[in-house]
Amino acid sequence: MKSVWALCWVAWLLLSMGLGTVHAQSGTVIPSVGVGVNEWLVRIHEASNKQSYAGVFVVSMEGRISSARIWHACDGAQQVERVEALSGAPRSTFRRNEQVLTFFPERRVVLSETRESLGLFPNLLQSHPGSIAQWYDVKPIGAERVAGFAADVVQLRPQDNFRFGYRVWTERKTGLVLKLQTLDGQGRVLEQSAFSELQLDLPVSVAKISQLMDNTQGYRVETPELIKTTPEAQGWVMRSEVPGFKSMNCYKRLIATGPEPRHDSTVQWVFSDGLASVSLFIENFDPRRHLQAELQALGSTYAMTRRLNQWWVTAVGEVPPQTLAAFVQGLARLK
Amino acid sequence: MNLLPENFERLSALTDGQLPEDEEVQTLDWLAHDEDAQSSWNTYHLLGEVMRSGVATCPDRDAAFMQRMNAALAKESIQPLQIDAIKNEAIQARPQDFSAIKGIKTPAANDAFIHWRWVGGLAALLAVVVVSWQGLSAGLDQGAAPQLAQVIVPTRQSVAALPLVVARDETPVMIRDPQLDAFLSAHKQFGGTSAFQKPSGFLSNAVFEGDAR
Repeated sequence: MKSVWALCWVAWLLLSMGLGTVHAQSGTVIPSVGVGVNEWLVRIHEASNKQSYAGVFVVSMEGRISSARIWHACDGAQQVERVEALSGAPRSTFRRNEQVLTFFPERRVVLSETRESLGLFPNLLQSHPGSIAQWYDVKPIGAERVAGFAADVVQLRPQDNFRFGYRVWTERKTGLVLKLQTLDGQGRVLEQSAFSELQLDLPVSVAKISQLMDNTQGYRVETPELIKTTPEAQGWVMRSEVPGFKSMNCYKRLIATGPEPRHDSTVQWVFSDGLASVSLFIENFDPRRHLQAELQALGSTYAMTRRLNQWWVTAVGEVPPQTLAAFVQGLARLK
Repeated sequence: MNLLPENFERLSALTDGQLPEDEEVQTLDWLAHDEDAQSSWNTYHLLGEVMRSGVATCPDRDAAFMQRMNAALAKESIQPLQIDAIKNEAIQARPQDFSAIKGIKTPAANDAFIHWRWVGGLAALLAVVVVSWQGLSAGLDQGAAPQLAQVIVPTRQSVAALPLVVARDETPVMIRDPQLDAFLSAHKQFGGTSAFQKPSGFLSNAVFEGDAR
């Protein structure tokens, strides 16, 4: 009996030490910013809720550079954004809170989407209490100027090989993210997005952007079909969890591939560790299309395919390939 | 077109790139011929510039510059090009007969000593031999052959052969196909559950991925 009590005591001690560690990590202080990790994330998130700005945003990965002119306005109740592509196919993207419309003038098509992921914050932090600090080592690494603004630089280094690292430049006064880099295990930049020009506190009109967004005259509006479901309802389970990643959402959707959209439904199961996310797409195996298991990459986004009995799984995410492999290997069919 | 308010509204829409295509021609025609329209066009651009950057350019100075340049151009006397004569000259000239083209008819100073055509031919022959030898070497021994120019070849990697950690140098290239594009798009749309999504991720996707749809 004594040994049982001793075991319980040791277990309690270990548990309390573990919880204490997590708690201490979630309260990590970023000296130059003066707040903890979660508070710092809330601050950069709030910055885009409170600021109006306009500028040029540049994204680069693997030698390819894309840029767009951005207008961002908010009035407390709503946040609107206009993104005019300066490179690639002509297109304009408008966002009002979670509602996103992308205009393709050459095809006279508007893609209308509701992006639930945009409304997840700050609930995302509540669903991952302390986990961002648990899986990433967060520390300030100095100060630089970006687009003419003084910025604090914070590095988020992953604690394991299941995620990439980040370097974030935030505007000192407002906390607005000016530049973001995704780094691999060797610290090499896989992807970078940054403002090359920025004007803060411009009188950008919410009404004007909304008016432009709502004017779909002369365009055909396409809305992707989507049904919210659960993995269990679709007969799927994650047999072994990937460290730090939690199930966020599950959808059944019609995927438009090629000239004709396929009418068989594909399940999309989404996971996140708070910063990186992974989607598992599960569809029926088709020997004509699903020829070979592959791994592909673009910037920090990897895509891996694998056959699982009569199903074909495509894992996509801004994570290293071993993370996708762990997801694919952990996926199992409910009996 | 006359000076109706709706015409100026069309002009303003044209400045913002918002004018429907069917109204563009008429509005551009008016802009090309009407001074009031041109003045308003400059004012709209000035307003836009101030709103975007907070710095005003000076269209009046530009207009004065254009006037001075147009006046100067009007004084220039330009001889029209004799297109027909050039065409005939080019057609009549045989490939070897460079003497028909002005400026090349003077023979090289050392033509008498060196047969340049023979030297050129020999150089071309040498180049062909070198390239053929490299190609042959590459075919015989791909691993050992030195690579003179880097050729980017998309590689695909079997998942079964995937090591636990893939070095960045071995990164497979993403080969875009409609299905993968659809999945990437769906991932960006519904999978982007990140604390960075609103401050940065959404913009990155809109800027970079929009043309992949």
